[in-house]
Parts: sequence; structure tokens; C-alpha cells
Amino acid sequence: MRKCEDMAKKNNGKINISLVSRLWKIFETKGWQIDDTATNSFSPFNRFCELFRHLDSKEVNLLCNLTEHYLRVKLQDYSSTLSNALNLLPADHFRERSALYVLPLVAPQDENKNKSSHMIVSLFNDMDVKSNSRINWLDIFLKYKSTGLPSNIANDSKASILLVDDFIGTGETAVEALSHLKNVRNLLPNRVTILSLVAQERGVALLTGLGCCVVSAHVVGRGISDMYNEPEKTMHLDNMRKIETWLEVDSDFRLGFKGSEALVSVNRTPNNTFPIYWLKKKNETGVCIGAPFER
Amino acid sequence: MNERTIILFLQIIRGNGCVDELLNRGFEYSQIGGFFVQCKAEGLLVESKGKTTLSDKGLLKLNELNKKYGRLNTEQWISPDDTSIVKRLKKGEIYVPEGKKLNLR
Repeated sequence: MRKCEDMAKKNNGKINISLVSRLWKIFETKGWQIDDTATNSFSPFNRFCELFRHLDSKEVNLLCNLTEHYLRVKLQDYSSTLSNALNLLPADHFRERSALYVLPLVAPQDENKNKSSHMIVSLFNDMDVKSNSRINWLDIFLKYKSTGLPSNIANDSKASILLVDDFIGTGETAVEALSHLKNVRNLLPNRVTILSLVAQERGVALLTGLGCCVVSAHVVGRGISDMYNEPEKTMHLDNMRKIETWLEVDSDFRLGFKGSEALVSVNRTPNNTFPIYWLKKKNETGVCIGAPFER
Repeated sequence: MNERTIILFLQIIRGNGCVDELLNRGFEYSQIGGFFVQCKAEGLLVESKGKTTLSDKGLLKLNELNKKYGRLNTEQWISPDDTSIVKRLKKGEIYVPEGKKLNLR
């Protein structure tokens, strides 16, 4: 890991023992695994410490504070998190229905790609999910493309449509998906339910405003702007921007995609999360510092 | 963790020092964190207001180990770099270090 001694080290390249113990406590509180064998230089814990060597004390402190609020939903927790999200549906939400069509929440151009939302659709084969009291009387049809829906579904009052994903950020992908459903099957947003394992407040607000019912096991705000008041907010945003200048973050991803400021990793860390968590620091000789929760 | 490493670790705690010396000896950050937890569980450290210091038990342990390994004067505070120690040579012998140890390329 310590390959690139020539790179700028704002923290004088030094990590003191109290910082290692602080990070250990964060990992312990979060229930995140720490691989303390000698063989894993690339564990998230070691990557964090290596990253700290390149940041100054204010930046390290900010990163520790943000990490205390960080949410990780690991693959092994997907099924239980999906059940938790289903439980948030009103008890009578599908009462008048007899069929449930489950589709991945993807932009139309991504329907043929292998996206995480396709995996969420597959989880509806899980007995624990199928037997959930919100949906257990319904005939469930898993469809991986919108064209797989019956052509007359808009007129079938017994059919309900559920779009699923593991993360909703800005909500723009979902808006595209809804628009596509309108185009190909004449389905209006108020006929569609959207379920996500994790969603950001801004995405939920956007989709709810269109008339959709949206449920998510975890609804999260912006990591700095919704967490701090002035003057700390401006100070922390400035510090994060400094980190991102050093990290050479593309303008589209400053503070996360479209300034999302997310503090989330699902199976794959979304680009809505602050890039310091997922973007590798590169120099002219190649990759030098791995990100803690690399994409 | 062998006793020489314990000495070094307790010295680092006493000075709230940087962990580079442990990294140079091949330990990972996560192992260093593990040492911290282990020493804390053994009552060798105390934490107060975000600062960590040696407990009386920790100081006693450090003194005992210093005595055991014959560490006097500055060696009680600063561990020698064991990795640079070479065996005593006989008269007329010449020490030639391995090239890879000198980072020659």
C-alpha cells in the first residue's frame, strides 16, 4: 500500500496511534469487519488509514465525522432489508390487486445491462420475501424488461407494478423509467410503486411529487448540507472541496453525482456518495491510493 | 505480539506517537488497532477525553520489559531498530549487505 512516497502528504505522512484507535471504534460501532491479519493491506480499514496519511488534520477529522454517519448495506443483508422496505408499505396498499409485476428500476437504455436492480428483482424468488404479509396473496411476475409487461396492463385494475432498486439518489433514473413505462405501456406514475433498499430524501421527494408511492428501508439526507448548520456547513463543504481538488474529481461528481453528498455503500458504492470514499487517487505512474469503498 | 513489539507499542502510546515504526516492521494498520484493543483489555492503557496514556499497570509493564531486555537510558524511551542489527563479525570478516535491503535497483 505504501508505494507512492513521492505524493504530497499533507499530514506529513504520519498517522498517530489515537487516530488508528478512533477509526477502530468507528468500525466497531458500525459492525464493519476489520481484517486484522497481516495479509490484507487492501481491507477498507487499512485503506482508510493509508488515505489519512495524505490528508491534513481538519480533513481527517471531517472524514471521521462523516464516516460515523456512513451507511453500508452489504449483499448478505439485501433480503432482510428488502423485507423491511416491504413492511413500510401501507397494509392495504395492494389490497385490491391480485397480480404484482416486479421490474428493475433502470433507465430505458440500461434495460439490457446487468444492473443491481436486476438482482433485487431476483430476490422476489426468496421465500422470506414472497411470504411478506404485504404481498403474500399476490401472483408475482418477475419481469426484467418493461416490454415483458402485458400490453393491456394499463387497463388491468387487478395488476400492480413495482419498480425496485438498491439505491435511489437524485431520482432522475426513476423519472426516466417512469416516462418509459408511460411511453411503452401507457402507465401513469400513480399506478407504479417504487421500492429501494436505500434512498436519498431528494429522490424520494421528486418521485412522490410525481404521484408515485415510494418506500425505502433507509431514507438518508445529504452528508454535510443536511447534517450541519452554519458556519460548520460552509467550513466542511470547503474542506471536502479541497479534498476533491487533491483527488482530481471530475466536475460531474463533485460532492457526489450532482452534489448528492451521499454517505452510502450498497453492494456497489453509488457515485452519489462523496468521491473520497470510492475514487482511487491516481498519478502518472498508475493507481496509488485505493479508496475505502471503491466502486 | 512479542515482548519487543510490546515495548515499542507502549513507547508509542506514552508519546502518543506515530505508528510508522510499527509499519516499518511489517505490521498493518488493522493489526496496530488490534494491539491497541488488546492492551486496553489488559488494562495497560487508559483513555480520557480522547487521549490515550499508559496506565500505572502499563508503565509498570514497560519498566519490567525494559529491565528484562537490559534497556537503559534512551533505550527505555526509544526502541532500537532491530531490523538494522547485524551479527557480530569475526576479525577480518567483511559485511556486505544484500542489494535488495539497500533498495538498489
